[in-house]
Amino acid sequence: MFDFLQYAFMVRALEVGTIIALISPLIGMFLVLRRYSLIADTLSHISLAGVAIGLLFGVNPLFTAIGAAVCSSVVIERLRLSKRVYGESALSIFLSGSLAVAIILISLAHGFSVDLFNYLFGSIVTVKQSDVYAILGIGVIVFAVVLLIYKELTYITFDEEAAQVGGIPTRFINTLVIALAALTVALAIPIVGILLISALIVIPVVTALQFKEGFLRTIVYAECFSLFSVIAGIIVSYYFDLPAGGAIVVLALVFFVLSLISKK
Amino acid sequence: MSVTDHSHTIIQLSDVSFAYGDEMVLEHVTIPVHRGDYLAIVGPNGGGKSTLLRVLLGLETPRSGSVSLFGQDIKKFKGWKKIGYVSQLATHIDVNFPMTVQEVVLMGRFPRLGLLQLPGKKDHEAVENALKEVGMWEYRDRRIGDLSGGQKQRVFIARCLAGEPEVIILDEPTVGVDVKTQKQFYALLQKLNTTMNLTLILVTHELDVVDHEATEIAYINKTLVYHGVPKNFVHTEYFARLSGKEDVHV
Repeated sequence: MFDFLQYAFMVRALEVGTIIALISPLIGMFLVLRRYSLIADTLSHISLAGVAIGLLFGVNPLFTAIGAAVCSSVVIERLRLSKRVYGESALSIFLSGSLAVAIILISLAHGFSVDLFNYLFGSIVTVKQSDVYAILGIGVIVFAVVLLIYKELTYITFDEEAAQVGGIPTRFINTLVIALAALTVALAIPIVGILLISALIVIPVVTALQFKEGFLRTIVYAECFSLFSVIAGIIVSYYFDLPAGGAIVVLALVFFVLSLISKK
Repeated sequence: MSVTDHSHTIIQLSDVSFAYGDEMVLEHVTIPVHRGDYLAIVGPNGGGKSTLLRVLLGLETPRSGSVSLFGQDIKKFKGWKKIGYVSQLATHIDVNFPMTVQEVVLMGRFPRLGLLQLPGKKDHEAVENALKEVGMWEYRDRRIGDLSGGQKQRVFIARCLAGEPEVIILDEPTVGVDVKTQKQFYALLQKLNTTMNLTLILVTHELDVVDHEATEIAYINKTLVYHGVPKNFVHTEYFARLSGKEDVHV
């Protein structure tokens, strides 16, 4: 039954998948509740430009994607805070701008064929052993930072002004959470793919919200939906030779539809 | 009755002016707030009442003048846990926000906790006491979005109380709440002012508060037009304007 575990690439995919499944809804909870889900999409497109840079110059695309996403996330947040550009407009500019850069880079390299396809839609064979260590290390950091600022983040998400009056450094924490979202998006790319990562950040959270529970329970529910979708999605993709990202997101969507029906 | 200690000014706005771009919203406003005061800030729409609160809370920086909190300039002030704030959020909160009453009130303790510090027994006791004080303990496991407007406001007051503040600042706390609930809410505020000697500052449109409950009135229309006790205020033309006896929109 667990014959897939004899393959090293499947073990790597499941290890990385578990980390991604845990951190995605954790960050997603704060993005969704602050009506900032679209940033996940923007960051994933920025990551595509990062991946293209990596493939073009022969550097590990995971690291170039992380660099591009984190740097851009800080700039987006600064731009939003400056109030010179509406928040949504800033996202839109970066989304289309980074896609334009990515297309130019891909064209310069005359396409990246299979490699690029794997990064776009996710693949269980994309993950290298070095990626496992990097994703595990950075994933643990993301998880730990969210736990460290959990109280403050919750307060800001619920009532930003009251949190500010309470002496909580809202600007710093807002920038930090966007940078963490950028890290999460970049880390999830090898498994889920650039075009589907925002779904993993958003759908399990929206599914959990249908159960109308408190904050902590909603996070736990979202983590469960995410974990199950990712692990089952990777196994399904192995047996049916499907892109992992597609299988994961379709499963997450099934849970969402079921939650809608059951809570009608 | 609350005991206003006139020898102890805890908040001082001195010659404060504020502008949004080129438009002056506040001009040369000076108001002292003493320990135990129940200050109602009233005035016409667009007169700068809410802006005054935002300047006082450090959410906006005045163009000129100064704000001091508990004897310290606001720029250097670190004692924010002494101040509780109820924004207008309670009246238009997202009904689907996944948070229980108990979780909302616990947030009032966060400014008292360090970065790595998790809420402990003392914090949970403070939450229980605060919810009992406002009569909402039975609702502790309900979601905040499932409560009525008046109940939400009580929960927000409980969030302030859990933080054990010395001052509570409220921005139009009863907008969209029915008259009966408004009266119950203001009775609760008066109880907090008199029995716990909490200093209260609120922006309001409710004339009952001006007339019966506040100990100080500040009428703001860009400048501080009136500052004094209610019994004198009710005989002024400004009170007549607020109550609609003169043809001025409030």
